[in-house]
Amino acid sequence: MATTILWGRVVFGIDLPIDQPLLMALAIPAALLSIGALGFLIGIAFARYRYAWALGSMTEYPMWLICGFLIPLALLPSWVAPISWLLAPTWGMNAIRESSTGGTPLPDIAMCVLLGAAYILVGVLLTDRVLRAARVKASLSLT
Amino acid sequence: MTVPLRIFFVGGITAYRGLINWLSPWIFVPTLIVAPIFQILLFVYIGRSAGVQSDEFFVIGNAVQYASIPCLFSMTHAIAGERYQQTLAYILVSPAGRLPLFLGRALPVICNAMLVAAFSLVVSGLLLGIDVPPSAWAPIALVIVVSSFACTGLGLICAALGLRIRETAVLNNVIFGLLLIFTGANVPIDELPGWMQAISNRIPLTHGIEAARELADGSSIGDVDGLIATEFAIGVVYTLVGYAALRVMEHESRKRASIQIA
Repeated sequence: MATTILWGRVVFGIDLPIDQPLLMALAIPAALLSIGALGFLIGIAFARYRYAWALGSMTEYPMWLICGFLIPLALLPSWVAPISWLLAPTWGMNAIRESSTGGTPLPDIAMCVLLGAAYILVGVLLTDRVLRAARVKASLSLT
Repeated sequence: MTVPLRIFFVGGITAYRGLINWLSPWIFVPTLIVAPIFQILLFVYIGRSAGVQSDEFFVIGNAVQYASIPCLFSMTHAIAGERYQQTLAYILVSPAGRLPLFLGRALPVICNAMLVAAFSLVVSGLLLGIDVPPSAWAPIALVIVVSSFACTGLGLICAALGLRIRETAVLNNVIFGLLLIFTGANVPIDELPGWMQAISNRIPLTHGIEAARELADGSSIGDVDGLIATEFAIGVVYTLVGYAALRVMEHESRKRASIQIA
């Protein structure tokens, strides 16, 4: 992320205004950790999928799209909104934008952290089930 | 069937099926069926958000550009993958002609790329309501065939590099990203800086994408025959360079005892 911002600044001369630096300092780690938490959950949920990398590859563009990384969510069909709300990176991205433009990022940070924590909790609960299922089916290792 | 033809067709398809595990539906569907649709949707919505270009511009550009995934990754792996399987030495020691041996592996790649580009174009076109005249579909299919061939030439060069370097997936990802920009899939070529335009005009897909867009806008095949011929010529040049590079790398890997990867 830092490299990309530096790249944008040096090569393309893009200024990144930060209206609320302290809240930005909270929003960025919250967003990044929530993305990691989502990755953890997906990783656990698909641990028995032999080609999980293909799933990761497939979900990259949809995540950029429906989490509002590159476009405003208002542009997407209305049925997409509830899906976006369930994704912590959506709130993390909102929080970063709000702290950049002087809005109110705290509710977004709170939702981001809450959902991230929920992902980790579900992931931890799933871990035992997935590992047990892999032992039962003798599929712990892929050959 | 003569020996060179058998090596070209039977050997090519056998090697392709053996080396490209992407043909498993568990990989093929997420990476070559679903992912291109979302790439197209992403750029269409970026275009709508920025108020630049039409949906059709992004649908055609990205559908044709996505052919580069099989062209680059599959072509590279169909040859360089032998290093990882510890089978390259057996192939290189055989008296089989190198031309049918290497180019035979390109044919299934071209077919795969055509399928991916055509599917992406039709499905995303239907999803987004792109209006392409029925008479344009056959010429666009021809453009896809020529573009897939041209990009497979680039894949051959990557395959040759794969006989020396280990991380071909990283190389292919970088080239895929560059093609997104330089082929005009998402940015009109005339809006790029001069030095980028110079590169754009010398790489696969650029002229194919332009031809497909003009056909979708109602041009006849006669109006874009120059673009199609240029795309084909670029494909021939890249294929020849790729083949020559494969021979050079084969020779070099013998000298350096680096034919296989332990």
